[in-house]
Amino acid sequence: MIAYAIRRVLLMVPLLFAVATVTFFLMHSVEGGPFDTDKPMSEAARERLNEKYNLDGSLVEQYGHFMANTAKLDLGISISSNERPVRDIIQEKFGVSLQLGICAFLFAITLGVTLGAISAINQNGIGDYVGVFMATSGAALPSFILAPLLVIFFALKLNWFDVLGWELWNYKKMVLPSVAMGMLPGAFIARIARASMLDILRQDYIRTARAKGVKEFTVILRHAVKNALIPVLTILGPIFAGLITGSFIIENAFAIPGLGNAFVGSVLVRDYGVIMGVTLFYAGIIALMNLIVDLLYAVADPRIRL
Amino acid sequence: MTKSKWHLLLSIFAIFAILAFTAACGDDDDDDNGGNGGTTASPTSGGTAPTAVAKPSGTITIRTIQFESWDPHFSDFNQDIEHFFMVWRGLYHLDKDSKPQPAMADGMPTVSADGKTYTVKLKKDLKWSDGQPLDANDFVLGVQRTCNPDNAGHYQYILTAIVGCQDYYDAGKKTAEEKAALQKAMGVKAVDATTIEFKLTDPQPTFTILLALWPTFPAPKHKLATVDAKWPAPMDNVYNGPFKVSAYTEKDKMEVVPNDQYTAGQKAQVEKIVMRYIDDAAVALNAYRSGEIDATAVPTTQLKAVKADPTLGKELISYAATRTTGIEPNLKDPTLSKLEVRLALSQATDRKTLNDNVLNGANIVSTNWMPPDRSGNKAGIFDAAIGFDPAKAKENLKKAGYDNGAGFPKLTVLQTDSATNKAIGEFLQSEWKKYLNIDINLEYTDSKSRSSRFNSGNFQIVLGGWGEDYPDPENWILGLYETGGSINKQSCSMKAIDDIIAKAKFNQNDEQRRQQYRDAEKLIVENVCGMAPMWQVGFHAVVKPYIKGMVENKKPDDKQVPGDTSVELWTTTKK
Repeated sequence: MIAYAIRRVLLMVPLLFAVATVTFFLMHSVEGGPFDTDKPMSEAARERLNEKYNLDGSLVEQYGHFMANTAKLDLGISISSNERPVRDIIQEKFGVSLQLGICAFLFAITLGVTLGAISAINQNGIGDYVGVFMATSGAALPSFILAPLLVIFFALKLNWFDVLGWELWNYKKMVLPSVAMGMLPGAFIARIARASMLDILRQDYIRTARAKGVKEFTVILRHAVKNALIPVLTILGPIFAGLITGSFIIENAFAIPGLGNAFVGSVLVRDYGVIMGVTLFYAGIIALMNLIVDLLYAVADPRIRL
Repeated sequence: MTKSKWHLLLSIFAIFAILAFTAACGDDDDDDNGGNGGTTASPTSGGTAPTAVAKPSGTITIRTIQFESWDPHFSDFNQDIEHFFMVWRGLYHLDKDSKPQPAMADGMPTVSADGKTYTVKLKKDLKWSDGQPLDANDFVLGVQRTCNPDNAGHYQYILTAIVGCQDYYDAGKKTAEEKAALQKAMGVKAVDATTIEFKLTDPQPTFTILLALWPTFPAPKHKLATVDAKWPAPMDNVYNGPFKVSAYTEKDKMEVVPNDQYTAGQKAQVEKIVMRYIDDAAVALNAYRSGEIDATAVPTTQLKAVKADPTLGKELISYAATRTTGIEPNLKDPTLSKLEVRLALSQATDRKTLNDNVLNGANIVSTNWMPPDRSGNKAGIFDAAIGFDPAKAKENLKKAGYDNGAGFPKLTVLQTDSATNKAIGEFLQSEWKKYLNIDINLEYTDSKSRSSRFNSGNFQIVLGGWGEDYPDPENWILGLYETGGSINKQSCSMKAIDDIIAKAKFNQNDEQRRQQYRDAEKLIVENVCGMAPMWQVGFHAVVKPYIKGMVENKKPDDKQVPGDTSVELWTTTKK
């Protein structure tokens, strides 16, 4: 397993290299540069700025320069943020996105597993219909509609929560963004959990447990839910990676200074350093999460050998 | 799965979650040390200074947008300028009526008989927010930074009247020694610690106004080893305005508190101003509704709802901004080089219906280029020449050789991507089809692409305009419409306009000069020389009733909320 993990980590190097290369050339092929505004700028002045930010050479030279620095783990400086190191920006913004992502993740799991279990236990009953309805509407409602709806109802009408957002341990600023972000993955988890649970409930060992006179509650919780979670586990990794890397829509809807916001903002102002840095960081996180899930999967299901 | 496996799995999850949380929370602590990202630097309360009338009280939270650059000698963005005026001040400051009043200067400048030398005395004992003396050399350094070729200030073009500023700015490729010599040769110097002398190439009647703007703000020489040294980040910088920065997190918020070293004018009257960075204006409006912010601009799309709301309707303030929007044709395009085509497009545009039906009546429909208050030209005097008139539009198109649109090439209208702009584009598309029987392409890009296309002249028609930098007709014409003007991207080129601008530029007779700019405006508009004005932009904001001093001090060039260039006049009764 350790050898497998090492092999996978080493495989990340060419992956990140490919991501960096594609992003670099895509980014530079987009029209408009960081110094384009409607105010005039002399060619001499523009050349000086390009030189200052290493944008003066040919694209291939710039690429070489960027790759050499990246290999030294130097992501460069941000053009738009007072020459702040990109690493600092990622660290600061990822902190916020990570907190939000974890809360959304916890919400999604709780919602998904509960709904899934309730639906499966009451298959074709009223609980099932309610659960399936909630899961379907959660999946159908895009977050850019859900977020304003939550704000209007819970922040403006009921005054329970704040409109703006994020402050750790301040529930008024944590609940709405977490719910808005966790709803879609929650609905997804619910559907997987329901299907898996239905399958498990028909297994022989559940019948055996019931025949032995084990309490129904214990049967469901200890024997059914636990085993039904294995398929859920496989999708949790990508979901977790998706949530902690930040969502521009949610961060924008609650004015949260997270990584998603910083990333989209950097694309709009052509802050090349931040674009590259964040893209590589995203790629790294997602690759890592997939690796962790694969490892966990082996732990959870002994039939899998790595 | 065995019990022990489950425990292992749970443990891994738990450890991971704890690690993640620690990383997430620990990050905040790191920020306190990071200059740019501090979130919790302790706010110092504004001390009782000699001229303080009352102890500052209360906090005002406004919505604004993250600045793009913190350097006043470089930047040209609205939200940046709003920030600058909170914490820095120049020799003069523009009052409510946009007239320069002494700020750091002790009285108005002494101007030599030929109008080419300005001498300004500073007030006594001026200090930066860190207690270091602020003297004439700081102001000299500020001007030098704007003209510096390595800093490449966007607003250098308004200082070209200063001797040597242009030569220095153009010296990007020269050696360090040559640059130093050019810097020294500039017509700005400290005669003594409290006297600054400016030498101009030609008399510039608007020069005192320029000394109230950010490109001439002082630079703290004790913080900058060289003229092109990196401008310190918000938490590391020093300030000479009524407020100073006390906390800043990028893309989240900035907090400013009274600068107790500020003695040059009215002291700050609130304990703190929080500038909350909210990109989406609709989100900001919700935060205003919930009481999380005290003032915000109202987006056009929400105007109707705000007016209809019993509370917000009363708190809404609307006024005309010194910003004009119109259709900008590129005269280098073979089709658009024909005057009749440009006239036809302008005359086929029903500005009133567009504004009333599509834009919720947000703007003040006008065919004037300069706001009438600024030019002295009456509103509507160009309506007959370029205003909505389908019959004339058809006739002009026919004269240009495209009878009923026959053979007219498919032109492209380029705009920045937004819901409002899309609605405007679609309106023009259908109107021009209806009245002229021509088809157009609509192209939307983000603002950097649009700027790049505009600046390189790679466009046919853009929808855009101009926002005033300083309150003078000169700022609406000079550089924008003369042949080869640095901002003349539509390639307007008419000898008559060039001649008038050349005469007006250095004309010391103020009334004559203003008349010349009025004449220039007439030529520009009636020839649609790169601009067919559609409206003067309306500024709409909501301000909580417990805030005073914002609405009362509103100006047509306000940046994000009313009165935001005179924050020292703001007060609040909310505790």
